[in-house]
Amino acid sequence: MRHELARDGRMTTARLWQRACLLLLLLLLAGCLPVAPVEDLRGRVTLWHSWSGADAVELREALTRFQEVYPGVRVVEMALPEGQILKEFANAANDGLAPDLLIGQNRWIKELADAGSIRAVTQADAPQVLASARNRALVAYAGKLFGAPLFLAPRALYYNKELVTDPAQTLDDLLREAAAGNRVEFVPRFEEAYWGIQTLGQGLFDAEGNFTLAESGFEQWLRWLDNAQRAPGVILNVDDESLLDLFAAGQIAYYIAGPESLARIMERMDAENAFEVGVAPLPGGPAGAAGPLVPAETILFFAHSSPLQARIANELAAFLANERQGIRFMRQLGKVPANPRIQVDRRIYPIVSGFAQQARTAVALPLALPIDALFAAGNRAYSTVLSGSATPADAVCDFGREVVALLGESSAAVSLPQGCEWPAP
Amino acid sequence: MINDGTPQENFLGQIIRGQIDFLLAMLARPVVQQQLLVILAILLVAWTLPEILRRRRRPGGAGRYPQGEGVSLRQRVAWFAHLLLAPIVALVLLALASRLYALRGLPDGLLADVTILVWMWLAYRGLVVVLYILFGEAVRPYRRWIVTPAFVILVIAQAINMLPGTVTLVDATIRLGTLAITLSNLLLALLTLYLFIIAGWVIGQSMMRWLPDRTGAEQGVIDSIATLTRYALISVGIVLALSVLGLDFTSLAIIAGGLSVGIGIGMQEFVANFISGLVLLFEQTLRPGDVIEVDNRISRVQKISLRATTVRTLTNQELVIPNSNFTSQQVTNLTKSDRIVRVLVPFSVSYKSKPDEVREVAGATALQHELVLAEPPPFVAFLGYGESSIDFNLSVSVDQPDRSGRVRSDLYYMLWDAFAAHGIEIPFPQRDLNLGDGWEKLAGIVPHSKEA
Repeated sequence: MRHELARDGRMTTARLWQRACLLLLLLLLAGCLPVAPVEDLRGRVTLWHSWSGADAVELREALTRFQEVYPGVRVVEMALPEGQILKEFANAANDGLAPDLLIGQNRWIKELADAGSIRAVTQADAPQVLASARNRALVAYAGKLFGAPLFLAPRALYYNKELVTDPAQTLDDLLREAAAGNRVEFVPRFEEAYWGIQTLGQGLFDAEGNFTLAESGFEQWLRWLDNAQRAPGVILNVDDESLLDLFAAGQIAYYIAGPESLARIMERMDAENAFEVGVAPLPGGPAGAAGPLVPAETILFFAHSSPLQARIANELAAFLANERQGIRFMRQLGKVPANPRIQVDRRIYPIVSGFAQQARTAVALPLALPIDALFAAGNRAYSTVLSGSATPADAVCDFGREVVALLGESSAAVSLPQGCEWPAP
Repeated sequence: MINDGTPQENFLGQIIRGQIDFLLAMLARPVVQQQLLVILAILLVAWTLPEILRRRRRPGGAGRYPQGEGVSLRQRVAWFAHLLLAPIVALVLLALASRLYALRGLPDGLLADVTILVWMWLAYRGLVVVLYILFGEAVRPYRRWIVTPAFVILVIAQAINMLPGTVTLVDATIRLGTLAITLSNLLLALLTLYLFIIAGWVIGQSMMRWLPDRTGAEQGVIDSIATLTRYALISVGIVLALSVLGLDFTSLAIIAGGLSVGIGIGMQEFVANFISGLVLLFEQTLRPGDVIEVDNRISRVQKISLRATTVRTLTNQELVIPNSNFTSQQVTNLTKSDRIVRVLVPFSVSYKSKPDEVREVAGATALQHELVLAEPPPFVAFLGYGESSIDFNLSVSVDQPDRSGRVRSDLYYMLWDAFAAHGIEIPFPQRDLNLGDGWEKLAGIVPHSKEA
């Protein structure tokens, strides 16, 4: 036959012409591709997350409800391990194969936005959530908003209600209670123990994201911690699991952690020694209320979805962040909703209410900072002071110099305490 | 597809459906469509361009590997270059396309992924070229059964690694009763089994090729060892594959124990044949090439496998005979210790012939046949005085037992001519009829008979 390869494996002329025509057709198709008109919400949208167990079940139910509202839409959901999901997303985005939506941490925004993997949104895309200035700050980067915060996870003060009736409201109260037998424990690392800085001075960053070390209460806070670790009844240790076990065993009155620890506390609590857990805002100080960092679970949008997929993704994100879904997640999973319209009644949701109260004074870390490196430098400051290797003042100076080096050209927005020398350029 | 950090079962059907939906969603994206079209176009050009170039250079050129004595080095180099040209063209075009995508700031990961696959393609073809240079056409089965499957497996593994979410796919679970098999384990088990089958084949081939010259052992023994080695390796492969699947051998042993009686009865014949096959292989009662007589038919043994033996009859029919027949019945092996058989050709001549002359003529005639051995020489035995002839038996030796019938026939032809040439008569049977006093009675009835 003419259209087959010749017996010796050669290509016939007819086959060559066929290939040439096919090639031409492909090129024409490539030129004509963009873009199907967006007329109706019908199609597939993909969502990745790292939720597990009951969280994942609840998320699936929410997705089912969304598909009931939009019967023409199929949501393809996939759970990936928490430690892999960011890398998988970045790799897939480079192929154009990333999901339309990613539920992840707001601190991933810088990396993904710099790579062009996620797209900016406007306040109109998620009006309920982005109406809040705090929420906008959580996803603001390079003058744009990337994503919509769904849930907040500030550290707060867990307490054993059998040991404590009125939780401590100040740092002095906390030390006093510890000395009286209501032991206190928390992890003395930068991220976990940031909350005390603005109880004794300003925070490390101002509203514009400038690094204001000179005005901050960092040095005083490190000094307080150094004293506290020698005070009776105060346990400062980086072994978070052991601290959690002690609290779950009922041996400790106060334990500082985020909302994600609640499930583990309940899981490890012995049935015979079960006690009621309360959550209250962290104790304040002379300069004001505690200001923990507030990580936010955020919904991020892939930059190269088709227009139809982008529209469905917007609808789905708005759906997951709306009041009704937020209340369900709060009720079923104890998640702290970012949507400011959701009223967290202390009488109905006592634990979530504690975190929600804390979130009001929590600090959104400027996303332009090199967060991992900043945390590493901060951890060094904490550990050198608590191990006695450096004075709080020296540790703060070292930390400031490291931050200046990290920020590079933008270090003009940094203020170092008096007596600290700037690093050599 | 939920991950809670603990092992759990993701059923294959759900996951495959999820993957299909995911891929369909991806295919709806312009950024993916454009990359795929560019890749397709590049591959088309890569496949077509070398063909066009070759047709321009040498319109009637052969497409297969040039072999034979008349093939020049230049022709071979041209063939190798043609083999490598397609992936090289694809790599060049992919590099150009990636550069263009980078300039436009568009995702080009699919192009990069395909570039890796094309590098693998080039490496594969390069390896094929080297193998052909080193071993020539002999490498073809190895290419087909080892190199190409290895390449395909590597490409599939790489593709799985590239596609997002396929980590979940390979952890998908297929449930068989209480046994939960993940897709990755299933693939690994199949790969293990395949490797052992290939290893058995390669080792068997090598043994059959190299051992006869190096050890001096008989081909039949080596065939037997090679066959057993292959079966042993396949058995190990099966056990390992089952253990990869997570099969509990304790429960398997209990099940096997329970079923052993039924299996024993049902597979009695099979087991008997299998054991007989082992006996034949090790005892060397039969060997490929032996001429045997079984069921009154002379046949040549073609192949001895563990269950049955294949023989070819003189009428060129192939018979597959269960091995137990050879251990339970009497079998005549015409070539067990040596291949020489005696062919007997009985004949008779008239009483007018001289027996000594007959002996000499018959013996000389027999030696003229190409298959009749000179040593031991033909022997003409005087059998006795027949009613109308004197009877002889020509006995000759041949070393091709399966052709003894033809030799016998040839000798009858030759004896006819030889006796005719020497005036030796082959008599008709003669009968003397004695009527006693019956002649007188017959005289009236047959008046002219006496005169006649």
